[in-house]
Amino acid sequence: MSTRLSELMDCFQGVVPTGIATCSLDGRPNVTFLSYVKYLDERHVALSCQFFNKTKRNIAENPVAAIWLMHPVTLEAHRVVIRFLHSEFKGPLFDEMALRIDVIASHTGMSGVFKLLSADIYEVLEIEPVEGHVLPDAEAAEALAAPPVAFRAKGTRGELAALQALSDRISRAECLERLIEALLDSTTELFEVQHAMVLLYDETRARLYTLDSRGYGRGGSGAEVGLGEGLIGAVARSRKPLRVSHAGSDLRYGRAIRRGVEGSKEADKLSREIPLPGLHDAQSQLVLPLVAREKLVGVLALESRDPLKFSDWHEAFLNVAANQAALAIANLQEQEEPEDARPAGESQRLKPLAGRKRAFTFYPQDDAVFVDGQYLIRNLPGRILWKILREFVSGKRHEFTNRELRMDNALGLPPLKDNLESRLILLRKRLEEKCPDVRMVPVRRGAFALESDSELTLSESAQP
Amino acid sequence: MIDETLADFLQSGLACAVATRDARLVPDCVLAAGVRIERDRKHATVFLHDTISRRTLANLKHNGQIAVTLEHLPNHHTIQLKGEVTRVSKATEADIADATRFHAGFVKEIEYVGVAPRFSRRLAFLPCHAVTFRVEAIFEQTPGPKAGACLKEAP
Repeated sequence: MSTRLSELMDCFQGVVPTGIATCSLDGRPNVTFLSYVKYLDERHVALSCQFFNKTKRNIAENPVAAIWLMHPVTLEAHRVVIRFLHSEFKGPLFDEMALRIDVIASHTGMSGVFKLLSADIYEVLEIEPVEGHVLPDAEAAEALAAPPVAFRAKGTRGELAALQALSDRISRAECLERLIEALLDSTTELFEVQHAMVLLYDETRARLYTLDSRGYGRGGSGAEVGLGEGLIGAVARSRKPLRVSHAGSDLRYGRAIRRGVEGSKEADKLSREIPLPGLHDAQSQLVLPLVAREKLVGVLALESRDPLKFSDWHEAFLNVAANQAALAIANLQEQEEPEDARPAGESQRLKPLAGRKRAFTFYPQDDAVFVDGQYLIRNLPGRILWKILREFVSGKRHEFTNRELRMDNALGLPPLKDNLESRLILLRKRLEEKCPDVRMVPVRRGAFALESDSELTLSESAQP
Repeated sequence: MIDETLADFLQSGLACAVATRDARLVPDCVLAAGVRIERDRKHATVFLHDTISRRTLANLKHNGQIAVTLEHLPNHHTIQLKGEVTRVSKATEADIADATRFHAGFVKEIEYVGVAPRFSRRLAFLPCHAVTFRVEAIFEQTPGPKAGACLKEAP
């Protein structure tokens, strides 16, 4: 074989469909389109089997097949002859291929119905370039996916320098908020990715919540995804990275938030849904789990309108960054920040500006807080906000410490790994986005002051 | 054999793949410009690019067995036609006009899935052969549990 299979790596991303021809023993050919061929090594590929179809029956009789692979950018084609070897029904390869199917199933409401039956392994017998399939174009090669600009001139040294810069920014971050910012800024700047978000994992609720993002405008913080839901949820559950090159209309993972918990037994867990910040027209996505010491910390999700934005190179490179970030996040979450010994109340309480008013409403059913009728936040950050708002409005105080929040049994923070800092970051961001005239301002280590330019009124309502 | 609705779908400018096989039952796969449903609704003509389809044309000369699958990429609606070739000839002007129309439809399909026009317009489909075959069976091929179900079989 003069062409190496690895040279066709881009053809395996599923952007343009691959044709597969088989033949029954009575000599009748069959042809269909595949959405995904997985490269295994120079001599093997794997095809996913979801249904026992004619292709599968033909292969059982006559194990040779021909596939037509096209480059997703240039459309140059290769004819590849393969021979079926065996099927795998479990193991790492099966799990990896099943993850892609599970994501599609989750998005289309077919979980448990549409699933991987087997990962079918084929030996590659022949690779033949198809001459004449596309008209010559001298500039075509230049348009092939190239490494990001930051790395082009510098080669491998450039890659190392970029990794070093990213690593430095992550390790220098003195708090969780700066760390997440460093991760998102580095990712978007160095890899020329415009859309990125970090979701942290709330172990007690088995859900992920968006702590910060880039490229989605305001309003994305707090958006939630359940474990196993959509692309992000599937990556979180499997703890394996996943790259989707042809997102398509049925694979828009950003809208995978389900409408509460169904079934009468869990009706009390029903809660409002918040839209996830996702591109409605994303063409490629790369989602990396943030795992530290075998524990899921969160997820780094990137997306692009370019169907070939992410390659194996991005996946490998960013996985290194994600692993380092995960360890740093876990360390910051686990260490309880030392508090400044100075007593509270040294900062000055601001007076509201004349005529400005804000009405906050608390819904105890799901601990949701609304401001002027608009959803603001819920769950634990909702309870924290409601506590500090009540004490602020009653005139008792305007400064609060992390320690006292931890000691307040009514808030119900878990005794271990309470992730208080990430809840406070989320709360601060939601206020910045939805109600900027009410602010949480750090006054010293482990303490913050509530500031308001408006006169606040509070009410509680039993009806959601 | 092929009703009007199905004929309209098949001739709407779709992704078109053709399978043949040689004497040893080794299959071959190639893309084609599209199919024209003939007036008798029992025959179809597929347009095969001369250069890239040499093996396919050789296989057809040997045994005449052909399968043609057409897919509308935006919704994956897919139909497969199977049959036996009755005529192979160089494309006439009328054939080229049909092939050009089908090819333009296919170009739109792949642009829909993200291929840039500067590349989709480079796809070659001429010069081509017109391969007419008697449609012996029509199969549902849309991905899913019904894929492979026979919709119609010639008497």
